[in-house]
Amino acid sequence: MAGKKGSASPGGRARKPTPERTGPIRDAWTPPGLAAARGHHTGGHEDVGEAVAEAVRSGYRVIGENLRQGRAAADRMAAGRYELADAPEELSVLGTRLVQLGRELSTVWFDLVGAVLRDPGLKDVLKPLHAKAPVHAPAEAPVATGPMLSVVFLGTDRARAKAVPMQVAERPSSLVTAGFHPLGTGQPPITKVTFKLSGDGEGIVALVEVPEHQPAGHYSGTVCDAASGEPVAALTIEIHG
Amino acid sequence: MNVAWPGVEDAGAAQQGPGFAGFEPAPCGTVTPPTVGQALKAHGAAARAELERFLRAQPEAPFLSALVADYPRRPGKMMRAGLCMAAAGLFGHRPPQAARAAAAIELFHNGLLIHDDIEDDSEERRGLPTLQRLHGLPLALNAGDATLMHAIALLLDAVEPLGPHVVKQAMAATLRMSRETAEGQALELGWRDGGTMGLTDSDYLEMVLKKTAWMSVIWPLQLGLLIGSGGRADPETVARFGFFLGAAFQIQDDLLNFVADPAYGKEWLGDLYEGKRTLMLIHLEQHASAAERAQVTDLLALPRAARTRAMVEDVAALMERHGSLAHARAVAGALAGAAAHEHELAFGRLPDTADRALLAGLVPWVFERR
Repeated sequence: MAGKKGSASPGGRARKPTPERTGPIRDAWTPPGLAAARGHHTGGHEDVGEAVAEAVRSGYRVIGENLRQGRAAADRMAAGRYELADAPEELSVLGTRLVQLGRELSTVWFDLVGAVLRDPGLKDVLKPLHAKAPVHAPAEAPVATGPMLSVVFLGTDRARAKAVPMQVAERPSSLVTAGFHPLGTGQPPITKVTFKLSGDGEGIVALVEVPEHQPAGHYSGTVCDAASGEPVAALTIEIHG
Repeated sequence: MNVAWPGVEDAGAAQQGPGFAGFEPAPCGTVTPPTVGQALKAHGAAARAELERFLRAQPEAPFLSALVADYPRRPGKMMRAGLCMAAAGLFGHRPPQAARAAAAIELFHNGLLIHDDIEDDSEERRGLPTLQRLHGLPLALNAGDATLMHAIALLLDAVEPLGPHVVKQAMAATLRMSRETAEGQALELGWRDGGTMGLTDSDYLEMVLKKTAWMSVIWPLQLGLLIGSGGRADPETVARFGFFLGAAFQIQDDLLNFVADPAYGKEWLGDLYEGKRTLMLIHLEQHASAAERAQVTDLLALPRAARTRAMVEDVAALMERHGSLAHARAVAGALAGAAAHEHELAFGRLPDTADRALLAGLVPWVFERR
């Protein structure tokens, strides 16, 4: 605490400098920016009130969007749309994602994560994240920016498919598909497919009827807008033996 | 103390720059409760003890162990450790695992600092030469990698006794922080290396959220919260408070770079030498004349080694003349106000404890630290 410089009395004795204050500061703390926003100028260079208020508004927008993205990612995981493979591969898939993140930081992290996930003690700790039929994990989980196309199978419990984001046609009509064709050779295609609005009204569900003796394998097909023929999504179905 | 380090240009200026005329880096009066400093010191000591125990327990690896131990042993405020410890104590009892988690956070932070110093080609860290200046880039980079690895191991060691629910959430929070931090660093580096201009305050805040706030404030709070509540508290509760506190912290850090104080620990005007897009630089670009903007652009287009002290000081003078420093200081203050507001929202219903007071006290503290 600065004070006035000490001085000598007429008798020659040195005097203590006079303190600037003799009592505690009891007023509530007001950040200078907030003071400026309330109309008290700081520095004299500009009226900072509106600029400062806009900075705070920007801050709320930034953190709001960041948290929303995080919640969306967490919701996808909780709903089983995070494309996790069957246990015990589930951990290796999670590990792959950890590794990808780790690559951004260091290659040694890569080795560490792999070693940690191979640790049987830790494997027991990390339980499967969902109970639904697992699906094949892509290299990167899609970032859902619009409606999703999910799949419900009729007539079998051997089939699996991951939900995919849809490109919305400029003038959407109805959806059609030429069916899902085998990636291998010799298997018949899966052609009985209809589409309906999802229960929450925000996506589409493809109802796929799989014949009883449909051979195991991967089948893929394109879903198109009926009026324009514009492709809106590509689906891959896996039939297990 | 003015020490000339080999390879460090203009070491005298770097150590004892004249400061920046007319600039006051600490806008607030003495309002930080005295207990904040004491609490940070106490929590820091607990975290340091755990960190030292961990470092001593590692097998000696040539060209590595000493490098990994270097940065953690340099003096620091241990703010991140303090955040974790305080958050862990909010519910009435601080589990012993909190100190170990706090140590892991500080170790992770130091690992990122090693990488930051390489990416920024910095010459000093906490008043001493950076690791790459002392040992060369390859060994420093390797040490940074190892430090991050050790930090994760230490964190797992801390949270595993608390059960799988806490482990899972702690790792999820750590992964989220890692991604955000990498994205934020990518933004900052990309802007710098790509010569990006025309940024806004909102762009800066997004970068600071990712690069600084997640790692330095939100993540430590979340880990402390998870440890203290046994995994029952929602980590998102602390995100807004953490962001605004972290943003105020970073802006103040940027402002402190205009102060020549060896205790501050970074090179004077180093951010300008590095071409970092700070709030001040963004403000200057928006308010400068065409000729002045060209002067700034010309400086930023040069490689770092070609940026002379005179050029950098001229741009710094422009910042003062156009009120860029005052703007940044005002924004930092306003964000601190938002942090105080969010603190009340997040913690207002918790018991009135020393830990809760510490978190509140950190808001003015960011302006008064050196």
